[in-house]
Amino acid sequence: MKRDLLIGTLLLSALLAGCAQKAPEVETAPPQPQVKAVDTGVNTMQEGQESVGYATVDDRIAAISKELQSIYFDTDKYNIRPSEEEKIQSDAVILNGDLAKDLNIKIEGNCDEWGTDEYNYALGLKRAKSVKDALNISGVEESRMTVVSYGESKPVCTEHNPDCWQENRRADIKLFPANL
Amino acid sequence: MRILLLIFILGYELFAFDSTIEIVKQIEKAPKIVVADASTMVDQRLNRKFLKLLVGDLKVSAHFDIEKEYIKMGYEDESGYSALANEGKELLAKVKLEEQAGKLLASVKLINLKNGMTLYEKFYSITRPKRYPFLAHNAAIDINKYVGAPSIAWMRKYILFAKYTASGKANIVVSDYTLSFQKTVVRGGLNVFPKWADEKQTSFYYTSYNGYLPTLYKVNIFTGAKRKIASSPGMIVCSDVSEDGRKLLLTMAPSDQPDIYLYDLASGTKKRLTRYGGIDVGGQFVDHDKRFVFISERLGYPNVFSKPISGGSVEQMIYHGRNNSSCTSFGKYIVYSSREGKSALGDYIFNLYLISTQTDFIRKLTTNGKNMFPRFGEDADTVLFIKYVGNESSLGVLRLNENRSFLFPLRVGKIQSIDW
Repeated sequence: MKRDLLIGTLLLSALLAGCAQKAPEVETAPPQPQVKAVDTGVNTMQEGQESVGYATVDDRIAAISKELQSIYFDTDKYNIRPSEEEKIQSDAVILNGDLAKDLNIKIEGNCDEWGTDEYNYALGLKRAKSVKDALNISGVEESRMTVVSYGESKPVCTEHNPDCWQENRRADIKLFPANL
Repeated sequence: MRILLLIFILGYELFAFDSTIEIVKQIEKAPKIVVADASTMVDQRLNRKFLKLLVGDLKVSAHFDIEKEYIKMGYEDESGYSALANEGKELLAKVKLEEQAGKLLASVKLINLKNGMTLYEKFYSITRPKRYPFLAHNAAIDINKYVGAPSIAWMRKYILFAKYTASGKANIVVSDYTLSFQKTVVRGGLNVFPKWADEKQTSFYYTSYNGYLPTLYKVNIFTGAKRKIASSPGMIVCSDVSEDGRKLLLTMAPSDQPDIYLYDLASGTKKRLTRYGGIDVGGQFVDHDKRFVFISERLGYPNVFSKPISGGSVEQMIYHGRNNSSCTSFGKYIVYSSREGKSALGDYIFNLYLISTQTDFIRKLTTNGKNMFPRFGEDADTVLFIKYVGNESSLGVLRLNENRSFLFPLRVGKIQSIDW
């Protein structure tokens, strides 16, 4: 069934893509029975079921998350540095893409180990907020996004050196189903 | 001439009571004391730990000249008194530990070695032997009290701390000030910034990151009852509790902007106290809850400011350092952590400083490493703080008037924050 659904979805996509092209190409559309199968597949979708080839929404989120890039920050800073702007653009395109546009977004701000106080958590929050604002400017709806700060509590690198500290001064983008 | 003499004496007295001036206590004036182990029927490992703690407490008090090691002597045996007196010892604290019906009992006798007289004898018991550190602390508090030294009752207080156990994981632990006794009271997920809810230390607040939004909870440590107080996008931290326990200073971000709010526990309402567009955090009540001090980056770097609770202008409190990201206050004193360049290994150095709001004096309290999260206790003489070395952390105790500091390392995990 899932296989049929996937094939059907792909065929429907091809058909819709074809509709946008010139008329003669529409005439080369697949034979009627296959189109019917596509229609059947779409019409029998149940609420909460995945429609784009992933068994679960978690699978889909995992696949999209692999494409999203973390945004890195300078020591003590929460402004988006020029080197990260391209990543913001790339992330915005993914987040507004068909696969992700129905998902909610949580931006997690993180800091390096040079602070354990409230200020470090607030710094992480400002980093997350900077990314949220930048994504919003790039077209991601504000209502889809929330921010949270984990301060220094979620290091991705625990070695004691400047490269490692840089890895931890970051904002990560996480996705959640809209009903959460 | 008399006036000059009077000015000199008054000046000296004022300086003598200002903690920002370093006072190196004359050790010769502290009574010379020795601790004696008089236990016969008790677990020897427990006995050694107890005696070591008692000796340590007397040392941390800084009110005694004490030998590092304790001696062995029978509880009723008086034969060794004169030998100790001849060595210049003045006091002898004899300790006999016993276990009876699951209870731990301690008999403590304080002897004046000059005349062999028993100054006092006290008996202590605790139903849960694992809590023996508090028994040792109580014995030390009484010995200190007997000689008329400034109180060290703070030693019996519970310490609350959050400790990181892995990335994104932190538990809340109750301990004594030496970390010898530890009991995890909140575990699972990310739980940070514990803060006692009252002077009696029956309940505490903490931030949980285990739901969709950071949430502040209140927990009773004796019943385990847990109640949600508030939640906020971004972050929520209980920075301080008012003297009557009815109001909280929270750092929260309902619109993604970290600011300080006054939260009324009875009505559940909150009032925004700061409105700067950058970072305002760490509010702490001062001046009997009429003002609060806080950390703000409104000058482009974190520093300490204050403001009336009822509203009004913001006042800069510290005019030293370029990165002062945490502070604690008691009366006219503020202790703050200041970042000061890097060590030869490339690590940032954070030192603690003490200032008085009534003078221009600044006293440096630490000299190396990463010293953070200072917290005054119930008096202006003792400050707890966290010291980090690499991936290890210790609970630090600063005795301001005695100009001493002590470190108690955490064996497993890393301390995130403390309260006491």
